[in-house]
Amino acid sequence: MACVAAVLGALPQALVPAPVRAGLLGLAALAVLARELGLWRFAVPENARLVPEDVQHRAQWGALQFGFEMGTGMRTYSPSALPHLVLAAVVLVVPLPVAPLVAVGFAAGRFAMPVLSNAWSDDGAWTAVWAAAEPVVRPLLACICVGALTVATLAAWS
Amino acid sequence: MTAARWALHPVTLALALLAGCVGAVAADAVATAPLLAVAVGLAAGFANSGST
Repeated sequence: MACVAAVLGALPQALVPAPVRAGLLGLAALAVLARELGLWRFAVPENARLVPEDVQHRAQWGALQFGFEMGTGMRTYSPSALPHLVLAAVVLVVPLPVAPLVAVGFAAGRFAMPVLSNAWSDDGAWTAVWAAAEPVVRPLLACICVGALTVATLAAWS
Repeated sequence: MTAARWALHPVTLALALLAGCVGAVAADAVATAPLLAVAVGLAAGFANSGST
């Protein structure tokens, strides 16, 4: 996904002036930040379906298909707008060679949740832990994402 | 809560990510930009995962 976006982003990054791209991304970042902080409510594009459980039992690649669809967010819900912001960043400002690093980070973040859930306990208590921490963690992650994006972009262009 | 539970807690992990970003910027090393790129993806992936 990130690689496709990075390739597609080569065109606007080559044709659109950097200040314009930075301005567009800045507006998107402010909107996403406001959403994640709970100041502004708006819907983000999402497939809003769950991967059927029987997918993982299909042939020998079922589990891989299930993981791909859920891990990439292609067939699941999107509780956060941060992936959309990151996608916009990959298209608008992230250099092509750096895009795979963003993808690796995203995959690690997606992978962390089931690992943490299993490590926490066997009774599914992680869901309650996450729900209790969410009002703090979600804004914090948004600030980290937007802050890192801002610093990296400004450093690359200075 | 045990130390292990604190280490696995979402707030602890998010703060660790924040500390990593601040450290990477403060170090002003060649690897700062790649580390920030990973951090951007990590934050987005973690935030998008919800409870599972």
